[in-house]
Formats: sequence, C-alpha cells, structure tokens
Amino acid sequence: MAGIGAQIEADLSPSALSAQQFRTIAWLRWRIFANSMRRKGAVGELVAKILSYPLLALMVFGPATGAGFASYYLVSRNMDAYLAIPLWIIVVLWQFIGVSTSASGPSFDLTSLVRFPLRYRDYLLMRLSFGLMDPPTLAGTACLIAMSLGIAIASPALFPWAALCLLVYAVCLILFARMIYTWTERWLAQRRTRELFTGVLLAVSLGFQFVAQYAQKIGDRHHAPPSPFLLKLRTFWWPSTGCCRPDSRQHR
Amino acid sequence: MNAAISTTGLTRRFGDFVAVQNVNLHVAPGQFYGFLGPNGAGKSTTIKMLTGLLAPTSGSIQVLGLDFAAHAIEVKRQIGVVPEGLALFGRLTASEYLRFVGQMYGLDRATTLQRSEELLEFMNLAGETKKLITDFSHGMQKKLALAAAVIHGPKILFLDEPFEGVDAIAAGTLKQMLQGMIARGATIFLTSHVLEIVERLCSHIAIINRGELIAEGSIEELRAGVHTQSDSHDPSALLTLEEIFIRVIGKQDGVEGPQAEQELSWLG
Repeated sequence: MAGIGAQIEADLSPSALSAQQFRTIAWLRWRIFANSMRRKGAVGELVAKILSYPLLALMVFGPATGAGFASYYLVSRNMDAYLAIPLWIIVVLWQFIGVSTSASGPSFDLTSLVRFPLRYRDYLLMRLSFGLMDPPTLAGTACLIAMSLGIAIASPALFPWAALCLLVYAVCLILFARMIYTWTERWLAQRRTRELFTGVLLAVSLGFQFVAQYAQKIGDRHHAPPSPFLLKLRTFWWPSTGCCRPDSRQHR
Repeated sequence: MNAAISTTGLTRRFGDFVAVQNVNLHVAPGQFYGFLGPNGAGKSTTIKMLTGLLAPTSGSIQVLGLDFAAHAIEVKRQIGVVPEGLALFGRLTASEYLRFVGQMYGLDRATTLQRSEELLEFMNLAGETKKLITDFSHGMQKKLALAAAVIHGPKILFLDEPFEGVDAIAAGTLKQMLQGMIARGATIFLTSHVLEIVERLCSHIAIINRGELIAEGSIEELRAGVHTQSDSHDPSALLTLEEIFIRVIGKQDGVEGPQAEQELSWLG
C-alpha cells in the first residue's frame, strides 16, 4: 500500500493525459463488449447481430442510393425546390433508425466520466465522436453524401454550395437529435412527468380505439358512394374483371 | 496554511428548491471530517459540488488552495471520490476497473497494475479477479469503489455513505484503510448515517439541515454547544454524537426529543 496517500506520481502533460484517456476509454468499450460475451446466450445474440448487418446495410445503402438518384433527377430537371422531399425523408429515417437501434449493444453512460480529470473539450469531443458512430448518424450522413453526389453529377457548379448546405443540415440534425434525447431524458427523469406521460399514452391508445369504433359505426350507417377518382382507378386496375368493377347499383 | 477544502457562500438551487444554501466550510489538511444531516438535508448535493460533479449556483470552492472552477483538472487529479451510486462499470472485472481508473488519472500501466494487485489483496478481493463487478455483493462493490478512489494516491478523499449496506467485516477493512490514509496525512471528507462510526473516526463534524450548515466543530465543541444551549443539562453526562445530532436537528426543526413517543400510539 505504498502509493496510498502519497504524492501523485503521474505527471503527464495535459495532451499526453488526454491521449491516454482516449485510449483507455476505447479499451473500456472493448472490454465491456468482450465481457458481455460471457453472458448466457451472448454468442447467439452476437451471431444474430452479425446476420442482421446486411439488413442494416440495406437500410443505409437503399435510402442513400434513392436519395442520390432523386437529387440527380430533380436538379437535372430544374426541380430544385422538390429537394425538400428527400431531405424530409432523411429526417424521418434518421429518427426511425435511432429508435430501432437504440438498445443495440452494451455500452456505458458517458456522464460517469465527469468525475475523472477530463478536460471539458475532450469530454465534448468524446461524446461527439461516440455519437457520430451510431447507426442513425451513419445512415443519415450516407444519404446526404449521396445527395450531394447526385447534385454534383447533375450540375457540377452547384456542388460546393450543395455540400456546404448539406453539411450544415447534417450538423443541425445531429444537434437536434441530441437535444431531443437530452430533453426527453431530463423530462422523464421526474416521476410526475413519467406518470403524466404514461397517462397521456394510455388516453391516446384508448382514444384511438373509441375513434376506430365510432368511425366504423358511422361507416356502417352511411354507405357513401366511392369517389369518382377511386372508381376510375378500380376500372383502370381491373378492367376485365366484373367482380371488381364499381358496383352498378350505386349508379342506378 | 491553506485549507484542504474551503467553501464560501456555496449554494445550489434546483428550480425553486434550494438544496444547499450559503454553506461556508473549512476543512484543515489531515482532518477526518464528518458531514452529517438527515435525509434530504443537502449532503450529497454538497459532496457532488465539492467533487466537480455538479456546478454550484453561486459561491466558490477552494481545494488545496486552488479554485475548483478555474483549476478543475488539477483539483480532480488530487482528489478521490466514492460517489453515492458507486458508478462502477458492471461489465468489467475488478482488476479491469482498477486499471481503467488508474489510467484515467494518468498513471502508467505498470504502476496501475502493481497498485491494483495491492489494493485487491488489501480489500480481500484478490480471489475474485474473474468475476464481473455486476456479480459482486454490495459490500464487495463498496470495497472496490474505495480501492478505485485511492489508486492514484489522492490527497483528499470524498466518501458518500461508504458504510451503507456493508457488513461488519467489510466495514472493518474500510475503516482500517481510512485510518491508514489519515495517518499518512490525507484528508477525508465523509458523509454517513452510521453515527457510531463517524464518532469513532472523525475528528471534526459539520451538521447540515434543510441545506444550511447549522453546527460545525470537533465533537467536544459540538457537545459543549449543546450543553450550553440546554436548560437542564448535566455537565457530567457525556452526550454521544447521536444525541448531539438529534438535539441539534430537533432544535432547528422545533422538536425536542423523538416524536415517536407522542405519535403512533396505536402501535401498542
């Protein structure tokens, strides 16, 4: 026990200490992952995860290819204003992947590192770098890169501006997602808000059931004729099948 | 001589609620300082502010002569903390956790490994090197948290309820270690509800209630203060820390002595 209560022997420079801390946290993440394999059924979980990677890759490359082609098509036909559509789809995708992969893999709470002599700048960098490696950010970034490539192919002169705008857009989405997570976490940390939230969820789910039943009753009572558009669509879709044609009784 | 810990007007608010109000502490180097108070008095909030886990709303903190806000890194390298929730990483083994903590404090690998072995041996955890922390008992986790808090040889150690849920044998090990640290010149700042242990270990006590510091000094000074304030005191009677605590808190709350005698008469 020679070291206890003695002078601190470590006299690293701040930059050397930062580098060591980054390495140590990377090592910590690795050990947490490796030790998680010691649980019963952990190997099976790992295999399932590895098998799900192609699906995840499809979830990333599919929308990215789509976004790239869409932006090429829209810019090459001077329909730049419609670029908002793929951008909105990316926002939804970003949030959807975030929800569907939020529970994947063992990790740790980065806020527990605050007690160590960690520079605020390093702590922020660590949070950001670990945050950037999550599936939603990777997928969203891939889509935005594909969009900027699509724009560049359609109109090379637009590329620098498009890249700058999409970079700002990506930063905003990352910060927006972080803000929502932090706010929700903080908000749900209080018992009263948790209870309120549960109550609202319950009311909404019950409300949906009432609305569905009410709508069904009204639907049974009033057999409104289908809209002309639907009638045309059905005729177009099933031109030769009599059974699927619009009900002739409605038009008598 | 610089105080080991000193605070001036330390205040922390959570919305409208004032958890800690205008606390002025002075802990001399080498003191075993007990920080007491009933549940919700503001002990943990104070310790979180003193260790940099929570920013004060107002007031200042000086640790070893350094302003905490301006020199947070230097201060954190010289203090050790056993937080209320222990903050261990359950998916590591004990030796992995100690290695992680040692290297986060800037120790080289060889020193970390050597100290880890010594600490695990001292804490009777040397036989549990393969076990994950999540499988440890509460007492074992407390011992490990204490080992991690001292691996870098801190000059000041902050302990938030270190004896809560710990059996007599583990408590004995912890006490032995803490006394050894004091003998080597370290300063210990401790919060605990186990007043017998505080009375035996601590040289100085502070009592906080409803966020305000209401008594501070050595046990003799607190005892003298209670005797002076009491109308029917018997100078020959030596009050225990528990009696002092109840009287001091009871006086502030307007309740002299335990309330239980007047209430819950239906309990039989």
